[in-house]
Formats: sequence, C-alpha cells, structure tokens
Amino acid sequence: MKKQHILFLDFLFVTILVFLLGFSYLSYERIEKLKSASALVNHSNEVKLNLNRALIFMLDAETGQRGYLLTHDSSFLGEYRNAFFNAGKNVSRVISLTADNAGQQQRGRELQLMINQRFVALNASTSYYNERKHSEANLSQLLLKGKKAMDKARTIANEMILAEDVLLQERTKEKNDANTLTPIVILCFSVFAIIFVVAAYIRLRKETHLRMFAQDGEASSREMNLLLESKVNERTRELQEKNIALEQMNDELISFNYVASHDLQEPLRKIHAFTYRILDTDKNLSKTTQDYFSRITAAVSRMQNLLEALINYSRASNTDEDYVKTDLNQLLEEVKTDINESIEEKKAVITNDLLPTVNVISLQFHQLFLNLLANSIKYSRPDVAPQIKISAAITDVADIKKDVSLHYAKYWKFTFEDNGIGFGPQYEDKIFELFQRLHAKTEFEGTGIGLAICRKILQNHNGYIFAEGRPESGATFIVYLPVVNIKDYEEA
Amino acid sequence: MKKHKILLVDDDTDDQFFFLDAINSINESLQCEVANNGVEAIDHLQKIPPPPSLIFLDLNMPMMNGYECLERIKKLEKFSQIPVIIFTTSNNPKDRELTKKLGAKIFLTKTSDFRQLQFQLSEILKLELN
Repeated sequence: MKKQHILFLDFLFVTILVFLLGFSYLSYERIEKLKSASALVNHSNEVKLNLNRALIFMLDAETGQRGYLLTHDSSFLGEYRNAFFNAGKNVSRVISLTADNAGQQQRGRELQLMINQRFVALNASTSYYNERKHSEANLSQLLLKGKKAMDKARTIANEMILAEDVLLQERTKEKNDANTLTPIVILCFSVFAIIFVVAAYIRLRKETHLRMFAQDGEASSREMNLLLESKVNERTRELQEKNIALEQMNDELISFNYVASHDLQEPLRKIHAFTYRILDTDKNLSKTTQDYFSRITAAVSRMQNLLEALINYSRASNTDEDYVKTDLNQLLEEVKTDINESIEEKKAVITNDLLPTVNVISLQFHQLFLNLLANSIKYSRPDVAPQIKISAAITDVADIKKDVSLHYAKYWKFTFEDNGIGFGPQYEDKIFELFQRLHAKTEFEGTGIGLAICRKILQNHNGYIFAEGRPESGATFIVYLPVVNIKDYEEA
Repeated sequence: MKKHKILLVDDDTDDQFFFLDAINSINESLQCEVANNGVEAIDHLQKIPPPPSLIFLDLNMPMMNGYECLERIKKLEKFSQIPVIIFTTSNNPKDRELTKKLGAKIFLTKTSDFRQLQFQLSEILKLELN
C-alpha cells in the first residue's frame, strides 16, 4: 500500500515534469517562429526600402545633372555626387540583405551594373558639358544612353520589389498565422497544464484522504479495541459477581438438597409408614377404605421416588467430588447387588466384557450404571426376560459419528444393549431431558429423571451418552468417556 | 442367653415408636433405651450402666448430631467397641462413607415399610447379638 503510493507519486511527478518540459519547448518554438516571421517581414520591407531609396537617389542624381546642364550652376553637381554614392550604398545593402536569395542577388548585381552605367553616362555627359566640347548630337546620344540605363535599372528595381512583394506576402501571411496561432497554442498548452495539475492534485488529495481515512480507521479500531476491552472487563466483572451469586445459590441449593433429602422425606415416610401400618394391622377396614389407603401409599411412594431422584440429580451436578481409579467390574457387581431384587424378579441376565479401571467420580459412575441397568430392567417387554449386554472398547475420536465437540483423541465406548420395549428414533434425544417420559405412569413407574442424571454424569466427565432405540425390540445406550491418561489404556 | 440392652439415639418420636414396635415384635425380652440426641446419649452411656450391646444412631439431631456423637463414643475407651448402627433418613453415599470412616458398623436407611424394618432389625440382631 505504502510502496504503491510512493510509486504513484513518482509517476505523477515525472509525467508532470515531462509534460511541462514539452510544453515549454513547444511554446519556445512557437515564439521563435513568430520572431523569425516578423524578422523576415522586416527584412523584405528593408530590401524594398533600400531599392526605392536607390531609385530615388538615382532620380536625384538625374535631377542634379539636369539642373547643372540647364543652369551650369555647380551646386547641382554636389547633390548629384551624393546621390550616386548613396544609391550605390543602398544597392550594396540590398545585395547583402538578399544573400539567401540567388535570384535577387543576380538582379541586385545587374542593378548595380546599371546604376554604374547610368552614372558613367551621367558623368560622361556632365564632364563633356564642362569641357565645352560637346555637340548637340553627342549629348543627346549620351543622354539617351543614360536614359536606357535608367530605364533598365528601374525595370530591375521594380522586378526586385515585385519579388520582394511576393516574398513579403508569403511572409506576412506566415507572420499573421504565427500571430494568431501562437497565443492559441500557448493557451491550449496552458489549459492542458492546468487540467493536468488539477487532476494530479485531485488524485493526490483523494489518495491522501484515503490514507488519512485509513489512519482514522486505525485510530477508530484502536478506540474500538479499548471499548471492547472495557466491555470485556465489565462483562468479566459481571460474570465474577454472577459467579459469586451462583456459588451462593449453589450453597443454598445444597442446603435445600439436605432439606429435601431429610426434612421433606421425613413426613412422607411417616405418612407412608402409618398408612401401611393401618392396612397391616386393622383387618376390619372396608374394601373402599382399604382401596383409599392403598392409593395414599402409592401416591406417597411416587412422591418419595421423585424426591429421591431429584436429590440424585442435584447430587450428580456436583463436580467437586474426587476422581478415583475405579474398577468398573467391581462397580458393576456392587450395582447388581443394589438391584438384586428386581434382577431376580424379572429374571434378568446381565453379561459383560471385561471392563477397564478408569479415573472417574466413583459414586456418580455407580449411579450411572445403576440407572442404565434399572432402566433396561424396568422397560423390558412383558414375558421376555431382560437381557443386558455390556461391552467396552477404546474408540478413536474419528469413529464417533456424532454432532458434538470432542476434545480427546481416544474415548472409552461402553455399550449397554437390551432387548426391552425400545423406543422410536425420534426420542433418542428427548429421553435424556429432565422429566421427559415416554410412557404413562400407569404403564411404567418412573420419574423422568434417571437418564437426565446419566447425561449430567457424563457431562461432568467430559463424556457423552447417546441412545438408539428399536421399537419393540430393544434399546442401546452408548457411553463415551475420554481416555485421559495412557494408563487407562494400558490397563484395558 | 445374656440379657441385652439396646440404645436408640433419635430425636424423632415417630421413629422411636416404629423402632420400639419393631424390636418388641422381634424379641420382647430386649431392653431398649432411648436418648433424644447426642448429648443425652453420651450422658446415658456414662451414667446408666450397663453399657448397651448395640447403639442405633440417627444422624440429624439437635444439640449434638450423629457424626459428633459417633466420634465421641469412639473416643470413649469404655464404649468404643460397642457396634454402632447408623439409623437415618439419609441414603446419601457420602454419609455412608463418612460414618464408616468414623467407625460405624452398619448403615441403615429408615424405611417406611414396617415389615422391611422388622426384617432388617432381626437380621442385625442375629448378626450382632449372637
């Protein structure tokens, strides 16, 4: 940008310089032409003037001679000699002036010759008269000879004047042309020069303006940056404040959890326990009363389950817990023990690959396995014993064809495959949302929280959980857990 | 058969009622004493002999909670060997871990199912009282 600008300035300067030099030269040439045209006109005029003078001096000489011949007064002779001298001088001048014109030179010399002849004749007649030995006949002959020379001289002079007139005409025309053309040409050049300079100025100004604007832009972007920075700082401060508020809220939530887990559970448990005791001990209750009490215990049970699930969910949100090396085989056995009752009841068969030892929040992974297994057992097909197959493998990040941001090179892939009622593919995401249930409460008991907890747990571990459903033939839950350190890999 | 004494430390009268009901239904000859909080429990241990064979301890109580009470008991040389069974509403695995670390032998989450309570208590008694 800068280099280009400098190149442009150089180009502009050179162009203007060349143009002005050319303009100066052409103007100079025009003026020189005008000057030479004027000089030539003057030259022709001078030639004509000298010729006329020569003729006049010749006439003067003749007049002097005639006066002398008539009066014999010698004062006429003085003028006559001067005239002879001056006429010769004028013709010499004409010859020197017409050095560039061969025709005029020739005629000039002829004229000189004639003038000399004429004066020879004049001299002869005059001296003849002085000596008093002239005869009338001799005198007339001499005078006639003089007249002939005079006529010839006049003819030559007139020819020369005519030639000079032709030249003068040409030269005057040339001069006039130069006279009219030169100012026009100079004016044109001046106008061009002015236009050129103005154009250059405009261009330069535009360029400079652009550059200044660019600098302004830089300045304003700097201002922008400052503004952004202050905005960011402000936001950071706001965020920090919000973080503090959030932490406080979190603390409150924890104490709420405690209240929920203990104080809210407490009365429910008692309602449940006493209703149960009534049903158990008093055998005299009417069928209707028994039904009512059953409904109360069922409702209370649901409420208890819901509360417990909520507690688990908020517990799963807690990421402060310690990561410990956890043998998932052992963890799976513990989970199986926890749900032993329902496994036996439904005659569920759980098979698994050899599972790795991974670095996880153990309690949360316990919850994860528990929820997934309980889920598969709960949503089994009637009269079909649940079969759950757990497999584990390390997968490359490139092989995970999911629209999520994956930040690790390798992931553990745990697959929980069952043969239950499954679900339509349209529910693959929905089932992980909080309180989303695909079935009526009367069909399957559930809180709509279990799988949300699973997702939360995987989020805590920078992992993912996906589901694939096949209606009426089963569901597969796929858990991706980042392989964080290579030891996990070796132990696999 | 040696006559056993059981100490229940719980501030909740309903739970005391259920507990006593269940224990009596299992073995009427068992002597069952009740303390309403940790302070009363320590007081009872130190003032009213003989020492109990088993202690059932609630966690959430006024004056002195179950954790502190457990710590105190484990520090009293005379009573530190008595098996302590945590008897609480909580089913929080953290509580389970913490109390185990403090020396509790069994963690029992209170149930609303009376029959289940009876079953659990009888199993524990069988196990702990020979």
